[in-house]
Amino acid sequence: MKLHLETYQGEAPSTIAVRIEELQLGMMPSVDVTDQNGRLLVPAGTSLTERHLRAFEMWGVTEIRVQASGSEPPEPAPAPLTPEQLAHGAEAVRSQFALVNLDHPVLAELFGFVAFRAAQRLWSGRRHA
Amino acid sequence: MRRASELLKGVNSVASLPGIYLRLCDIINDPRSSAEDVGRVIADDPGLTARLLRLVNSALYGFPSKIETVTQAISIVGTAQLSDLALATSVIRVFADMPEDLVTMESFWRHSVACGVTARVIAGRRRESNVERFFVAGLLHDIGRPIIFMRAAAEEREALALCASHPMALFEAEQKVLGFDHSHVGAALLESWKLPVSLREAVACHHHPGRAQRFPVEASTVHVADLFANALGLGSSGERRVPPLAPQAWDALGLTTASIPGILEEAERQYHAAVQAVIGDAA
Repeated sequence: MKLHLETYQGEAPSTIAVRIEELQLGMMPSVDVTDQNGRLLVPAGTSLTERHLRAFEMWGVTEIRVQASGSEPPEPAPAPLTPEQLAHGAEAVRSQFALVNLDHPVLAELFGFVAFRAAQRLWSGRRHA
Repeated sequence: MRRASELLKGVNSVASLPGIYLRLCDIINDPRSSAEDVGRVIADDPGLTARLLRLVNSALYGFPSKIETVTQAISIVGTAQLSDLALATSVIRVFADMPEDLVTMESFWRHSVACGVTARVIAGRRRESNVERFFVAGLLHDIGRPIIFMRAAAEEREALALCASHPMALFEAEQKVLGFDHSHVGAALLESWKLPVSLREAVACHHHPGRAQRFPVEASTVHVADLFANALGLGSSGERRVPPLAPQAWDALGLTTASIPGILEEAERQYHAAVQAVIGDAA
């Protein structure tokens, strides 16, 4: 069974073109962002907020170009989860997936995401192993 | 053995949809009517107006400025879309007073909203023209369940027990105990309400999307959205596990597995916005 637990650690993108799934708050578009009809959504150089990211999602923007220098998120990312913590997350949700075939790539991806979320909940600050 | 449609008999509270939705449909289907006529019908119902404005101003849309009137909402969201949202909020109110000993209505609607927004996000990724139609289809996919809770509670309890002791999805256990499942009851209800066939088929076939004759994309979208919503564990309509995937339904949507995390994250965001806006005063 192939698990996708590591994929969600949110590695900082090093390229200039960034898919919207990978955009981070505080990044700055290097060119104006428009919808499919050319309507301006966000001017170049704007520091992206949650609201902008939702608007991109809403208006079908799939990728934008960002300034490499502005690509660091304003807040430090939380420490990545350890493989042990991820394994605990996987254990916590395994019974929920008892009826499905985890060898199917869709279910494997879904399981990985949900297990990662469970691990985040288990180790979000106050709780320790 | 009873038939699915027989469960509907004697359920007075769901005998008819609020007249306002049917009036809206009449107007939308009348070629001589205008968006202003639609606005007038909605504005006649202050409760509906307030709920719709709350929805279009929620993070579900993320419009940059506040939408103050129904006319504005229609011009931005669209006539068909707004009437689908009117249907969504009307149905939730019809089911406000259901028995809650098997599943609370809050938990039921939370799962329904989760499936609705996930279907909406998937439809958006596929560039469907009216994503609200998919939101409503997802919202209504398990609508047969509260009817079963009310009219066949003993059988549903038996089905739940069967699931607890066997590796079986709840709809399969319902089949075993009742001879039909909640998707049949839901489809019968939507038929009695004379709702569009696309909604009926999406509800009827959400566990067997391969059986959808006319609207396979709607059925496949709701099927996948139901799986995702169950996996995220946002509310429950009785099912505690992720139901089996019909692989051809995923293939029919033409999405890549790489798009799944983005879909789930967007669905989570829209879920919190929609729960507030849609069931805020009902749950």
